[in-house]
Amino acid sequence: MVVKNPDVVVIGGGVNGLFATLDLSLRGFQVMLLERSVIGSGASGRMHGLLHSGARYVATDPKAAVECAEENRIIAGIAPHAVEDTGGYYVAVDKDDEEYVEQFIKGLRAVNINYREVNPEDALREEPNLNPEVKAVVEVPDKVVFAKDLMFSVAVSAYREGALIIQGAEVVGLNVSGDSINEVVVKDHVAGDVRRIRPRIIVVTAGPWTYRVVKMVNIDVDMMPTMGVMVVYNRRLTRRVINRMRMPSDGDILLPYASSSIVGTTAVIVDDPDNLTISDDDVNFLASEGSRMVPALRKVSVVRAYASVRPLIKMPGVNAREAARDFAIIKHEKPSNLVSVIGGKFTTGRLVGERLSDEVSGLLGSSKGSMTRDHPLFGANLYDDLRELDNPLRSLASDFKGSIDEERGRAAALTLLLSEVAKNSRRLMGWS
Amino acid sequence: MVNLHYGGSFNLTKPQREVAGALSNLGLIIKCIPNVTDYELISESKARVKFRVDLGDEVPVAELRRVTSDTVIEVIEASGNGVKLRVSGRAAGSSIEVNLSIIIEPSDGGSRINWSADASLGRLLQMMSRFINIDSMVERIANDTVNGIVKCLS
Repeated sequence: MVVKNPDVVVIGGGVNGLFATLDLSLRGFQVMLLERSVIGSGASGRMHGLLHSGARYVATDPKAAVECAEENRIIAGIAPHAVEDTGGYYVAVDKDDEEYVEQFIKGLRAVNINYREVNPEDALREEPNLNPEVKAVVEVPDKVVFAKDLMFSVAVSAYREGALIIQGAEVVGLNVSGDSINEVVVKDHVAGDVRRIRPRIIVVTAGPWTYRVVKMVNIDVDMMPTMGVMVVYNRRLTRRVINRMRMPSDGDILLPYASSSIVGTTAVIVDDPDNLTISDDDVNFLASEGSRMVPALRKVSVVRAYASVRPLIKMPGVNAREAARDFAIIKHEKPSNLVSVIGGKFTTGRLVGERLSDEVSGLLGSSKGSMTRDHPLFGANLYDDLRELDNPLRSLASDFKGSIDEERGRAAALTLLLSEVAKNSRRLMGWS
Repeated sequence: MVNLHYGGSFNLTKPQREVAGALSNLGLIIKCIPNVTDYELISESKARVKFRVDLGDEVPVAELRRVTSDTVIEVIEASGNGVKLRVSGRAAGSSIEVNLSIIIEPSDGGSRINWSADASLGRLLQMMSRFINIDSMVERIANDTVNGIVKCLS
């Protein structure tokens, strides 16, 4: 099978693009995802690891809080292998935090997020590394998500539904005829060739790089990238996610991520999403804020720091109120077959995919609804189902099962699978 | 750099001399600034102060709505009827500088405070003006700070 002209081309292989690809494939459309580098290499692969319970947004953005709460349950249900149900504590460590408790609990009730007020002494028994001066604790259903595991599972699942996942494919041109795009020009970084695709609909899910893609069709986007820094420590210090009990700010999350701890995040305005510099001040600031919640952080070593970029984007068709929301889907007037998304959190990636697919389905005259909320992702029973791999790779991946590294091997096995999926996708396109 | 200018006045029940003394006492004034998270007195007239700045819920990224600024506050000039303070540092990765001039006059047994502030925002923070009304945002922050000082000295 050689697929030259799919129904939909999705540009950008982060969580939004992957879920859009899976959603559209499940609705029966022929979809091709183009990623300039590798799956999850952008902002999605550098998130903080929190699968939001929604609690963080109850005071500032109740709609986002409701969306996060629902997606938190859905993602845990369809991808249990990529989620650790740690639970989360919100902790008040000073007087200002204490003043937020009432508003916080009122917000949790308003958006119907399960919570439990925990006696500080009980909380300290559960989490001995918490600040002993903790004044109030509320438990919420925060979880930890293993970002690459989830994204690779979505990619493989989409491929199994007929989608093509092409890595190393950078869109360098969008040719317009009349009022629509009739050709997507792709620089193939693997073969070094220029490829041309003629899809019916183009979906842009390029995150902070969206402005570069839509600029190809003269859509002016005003963008301000902001960098969020995360610091990784060499020990897991808590069982749960620990959040500072205050309005969302910088330096107020500490996560247990496998055997490490991650503290995030900052908000630093930067010039270029491809050129990020993490300063000692960023790392020191996060260490200082993190240790207010968990003082033991001062005694463990920093392994490394990493950064992701959130874009603030102003685009024609999005009003200020929509732009201030978590995400917005934009159906452009011209070209009429272009749909973009701005904003979004990792937690709401599936929902973004669903909303994008609703828009695209309408354009393609289909009334089929989304199925991703009930569609178990590939990977939950990974070692029982490695048939996509050729024999030598299958043996290599399967050998993790029962070995000392079975749990750690999941990411490696999924990586091997994704590599095979990407190779097969190129072959099906006639690009190999 | 974007330069913004604000000013205003308010009354305090305390006499001129007492207010002038308090306003030039950094150890006291820092405690009056809203949302101070950490501070260190470097000398009598100079302190390193970290405080959380509320940029407002209209900012489209939650983490950027409340950012921690890392500043040095310095008493530049202090006399019986006035104080000049300079606040310089960084917020959201961008430089900021605020020069605050305060004149204290006797008024009905208390004091009348006339203040003016010149704020300079670095290039990166200046970019925020494309997304939100930065002028009203800085004015709100200035008012919050003044209200904090009034509350403290009343």
